This record gives sequence, structure tokens and C-alpha cells, in this order.
Amino acid sequence: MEFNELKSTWNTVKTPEISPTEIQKMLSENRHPVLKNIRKQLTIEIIGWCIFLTCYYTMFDGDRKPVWINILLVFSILLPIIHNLMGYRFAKYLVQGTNIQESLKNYLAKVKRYAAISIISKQLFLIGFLLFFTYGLSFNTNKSISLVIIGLLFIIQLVLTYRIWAKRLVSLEKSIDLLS
Amino acid sequence: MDERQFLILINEHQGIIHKICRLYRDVREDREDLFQEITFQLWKSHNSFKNNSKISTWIYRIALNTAIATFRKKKQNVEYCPTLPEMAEEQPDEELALRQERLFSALKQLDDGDKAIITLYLEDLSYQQIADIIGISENYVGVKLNRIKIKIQNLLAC
Repeated sequence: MEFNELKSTWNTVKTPEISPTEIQKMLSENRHPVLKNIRKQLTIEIIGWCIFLTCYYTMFDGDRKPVWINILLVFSILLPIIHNLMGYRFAKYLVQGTNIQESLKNYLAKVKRYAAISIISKQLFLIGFLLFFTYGLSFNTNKSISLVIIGLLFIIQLVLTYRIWAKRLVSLEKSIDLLS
Repeated sequence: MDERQFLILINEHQGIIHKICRLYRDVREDREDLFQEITFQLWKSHNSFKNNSKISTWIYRIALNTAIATFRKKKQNVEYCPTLPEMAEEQPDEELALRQERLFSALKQLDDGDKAIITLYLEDLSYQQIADIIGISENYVGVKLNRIKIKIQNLLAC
């Protein structure tokens, strides 16, 4: 196929037609496929953690533990929530420059920062959570094994999160390299 | 630009967006999501549109930027068939349908950056316009296009 033929073939491609009413609905944040899912997840997380934070003080002996442990727990729970709220805004504005290359470079820098905070906030969450629940605990073999298993599960989750972000970053970097 | 003007604009240029969606996504559901994402991003950045550039140039820039920047869902197995499933009924010319299928299956194998440049070329934009949208020099557009053309020729020859 010659290149002029490619162009003419490209120009004959018929495309579906979406009505202006349907297009109008697409302008709303409530109908956005990604933002809708982030909002749903955020709402569930915020409700869940709010319930936990209102109950933990009496249910999990927060009143018998030092203030700094309580502050650390609250902080370690709030950090991922704040980070997710940042993520919502981040997903809303993809275009970050006056041409594609500049925009992708700016976007990549933001994704890198966001990914790093995502991994750090997950680690802080693990530290805060484990410190709170293990503070003042006398360890026997069963408790030690349980702690190791919980730690391992968090590490696996961390590795998986890292791999997802690494894959996304590599793909973006590759696109930028090919354009420059 | 108010919402009514914006809707007229998208309605007039939706063909461009559909072609980009078809090139960057393999399954219909993903294409629909990308179409919505591009429309949303165009709406979010419509204030940044400057009247000294063509409206279609601005649409190409935002649409291609969005297609490259959005993360794909987990890859699904796609079975290519000789005809275009969603166009089959509207496309009486079998030879044309086959040519389109060959073109798209070759273009889909290119990297995201190359797809952007060849799309702009196929849409008949000048080297200067392509350079402005991508953010590279006009000469480099020529170099890149020659490389992409060789890649496509090899893919079509397979």
C-alpha cells in the first residue's frame, strides 16, 4: 500500500456518531468513568475510617496508650485519604502544557511524585497501624508469627503497588522518548 | 466559548476523536471511555484555547495527549477478524473494509508516540502544524515520519 493510498483509506474510515445530548452528559464529572470510581472508593474509605476513628479509642484501648501513638495512628490513616483526594484532582487534569511533549513531561513529573507519596503513605500506614496494635503487647510465638504474616502481606501489597506504578512510568517515559 | 458552542464544536469534530480512540484502544468499551475522557479534557481545557491557532489543531493536541497519558486497563486478548465488526453493516465495499483493517492493524502496532505523529500526517496537517502540536522541530518531524513510514511498510509487508 502506497502512502497516498494510506491517506485515502484513512479518510474513508466511517466513525460512529454520538448525539450532542450524549456529549453534553460527558462533560459532567458525575458521568466520568475514572472519576466516578475514585469517588466511590473514596467515599467508602472515608466512611470506614471515620467509623474506625470514632470507635478505636475505647474499643482498641486507645485511652490506655500514649498520646503520640494515638496521633501517629490518626495521621497514618489520614495521610492515604488526603493522598487519594489529591489523586482525584490529579486524574481530573491530564493536559499540562502547550504541546504534547511538554504536557507529557510535566505529567510524568507529577505521576512520579504521586507514585512516591503513594508508596510512602502506605508504609506509614503500616508503621502507624502496627505500632498502635503492638504497643505494650507481650509477645509469644503465636503473636510473633501473626505479626510476621501481617508484615509480609503489607510488603506484598507494597511490591504490587510499586510494580503497577513502575509499569505506568516506563510506558509514559517511552512515549516521551519516542516523541523527542 | 460557552457550553452550546462547545457541543457544536465537538459534534463537528467527533470523527477525529473516534479515529484516535480506535487507534489507541482495542475494545469498544475502552474506546467509549477514552472518547468520554477526551471530551471531558477538552471541556476542562477549553479556556486555554487561543484563537490564533486552528480549532482542529487544538482538538488533535488535547485528544492525542489524553490518549497517551491515560493509563490503559489490563490488556485483554483481542482477536482480529478480517472485517470490522462495528462497521461491517455500513461498509458494503469489502475491499475497502479490508484495506482499512490492514491499515489499522499496522498502525496499532506502532508505539504511542509514533501513532500520534502518523495520525497528524494522515489527517493532512503540515509539518509545521505537526511540529507545533508535538513540540519538536519541523525538520525532526520529517525524520520521524520517514522512520515511521519504513516501519509501516515493513508491517504491511508481513
